[in-house]
Amino acid sequence: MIHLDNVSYTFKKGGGVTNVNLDINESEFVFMIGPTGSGKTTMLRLIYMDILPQVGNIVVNKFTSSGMKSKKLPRLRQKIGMVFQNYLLMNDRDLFENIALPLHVLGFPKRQITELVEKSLDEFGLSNKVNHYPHELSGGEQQRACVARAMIKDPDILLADEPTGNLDPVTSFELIKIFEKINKAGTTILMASHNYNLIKGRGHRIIEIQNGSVRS
Amino acid sequence: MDKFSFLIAEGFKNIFRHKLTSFATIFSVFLTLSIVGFLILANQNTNKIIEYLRAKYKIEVFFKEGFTDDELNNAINQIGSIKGVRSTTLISKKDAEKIFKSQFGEDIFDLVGFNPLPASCVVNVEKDGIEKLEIMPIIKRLEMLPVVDEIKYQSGLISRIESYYQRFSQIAILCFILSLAISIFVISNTIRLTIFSRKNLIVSFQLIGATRSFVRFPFIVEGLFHGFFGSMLSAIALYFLIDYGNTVIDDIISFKINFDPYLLSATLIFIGIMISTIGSIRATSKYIK
Repeated sequence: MIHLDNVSYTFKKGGGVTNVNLDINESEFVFMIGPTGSGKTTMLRLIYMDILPQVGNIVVNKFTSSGMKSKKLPRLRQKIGMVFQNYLLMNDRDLFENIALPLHVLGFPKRQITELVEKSLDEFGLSNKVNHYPHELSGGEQQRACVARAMIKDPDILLADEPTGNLDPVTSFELIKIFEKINKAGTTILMASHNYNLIKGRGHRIIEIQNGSVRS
Repeated sequence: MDKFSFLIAEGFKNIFRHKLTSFATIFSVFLTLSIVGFLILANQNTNKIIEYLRAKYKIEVFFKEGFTDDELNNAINQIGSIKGVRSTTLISKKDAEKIFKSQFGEDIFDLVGFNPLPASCVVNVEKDGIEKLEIMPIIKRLEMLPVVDEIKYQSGLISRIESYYQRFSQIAILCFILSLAISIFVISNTIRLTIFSRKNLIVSFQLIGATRSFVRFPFIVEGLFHGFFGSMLSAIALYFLIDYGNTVIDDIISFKINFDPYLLSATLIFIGIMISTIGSIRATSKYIK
């Protein structure tokens, strides 16, 4: 599903990843841990091809980084759901519109969009917040909305970059449980976190990143 | 079809979602295009003024004695065919006698015993055209005619008016180009600022897999609306301003500011839409990866 072959990327001002080899299989749940600045976000950016490797090659769901054209990127991104620490919800539209957006991008008919969004809001416990704007929601609700938006298009892969970074421990554990439920349904998940206590003992593969290199 | 209608709706919704930035863009389009429209009208009406003044230019050609009416008529035809001459009017010796009587109240025969007034011709020059009217080539051609005795014309005044008009036209064109350039600069920068404030939105759109055209389309719809609405407002404002201006001028002189409201509106709307749309495309391109 995700294959990194001897991948290196160095930023002009320093930092990045060096000689990364990684394979993540279909329906796998992988935690990526490491301190702040170790290269976790760079790894995720490389996987969703926001940046392309300077050395090596990445294959994500049949999309190859070598010779990747910007025209092809939307097709890759449509197969990947993304969740960020700072949510990246659109503040100028309500929850319904935020969650419906990926379906509009994919060209779903209006009636089907309404059905799917209502179902998703119900699934993530946000039905009573449908007309709320992001700033009217709590941190946990915003993050659940973010996951709902990522999952509404039924992606093959879910990438999460420090999704619990702004949440309290209880809400963080709730979010991990949501991810596990999503993973059980068949979605491959790669989640970056610096909080080892949150992910230890859950039976998922853990890879450690330090100074831009994969340790295990 | 659902996608297309969604994108159109997005564009219109964005106008109301971002009321303040929409107002700023529409206002900058309105303000700058009002100046552009005003300069277009000033330029058009300067042409009307020069046409009015040129109609008053008069060259008087006095003929020598001893030529027959046929010879004079022949000369008049030759004068009429000179480049730059609009019309000619022959004043025969008899006509000159009548004019003298009407102006001085006395018969020339009673005063001197014969008619010393020569036959003459009034030459009117072309009044149309934006290029400088050259009077000297006409005078030189007239001087070459054997029947011509003397030519009287307002040489200094004509050349001064023509030079001033030329200078004014050049300045007006320069002002128009300058105001258009300022309009493009102001409108594009206002649009750039409004889009800059929404660059996170563009990033979010791209992260969920939106294509470049999907991200750009609502901004284009928005730009089209801003351009249309702002330029429409400037056309309406100019219409009422000119209407009021004509009422005021009418009380003072018999001159009316000439303008075609439909042509002016169409021109301003075209300029407004073009600048706003191109500005939107360029500004979004900056933030779309």
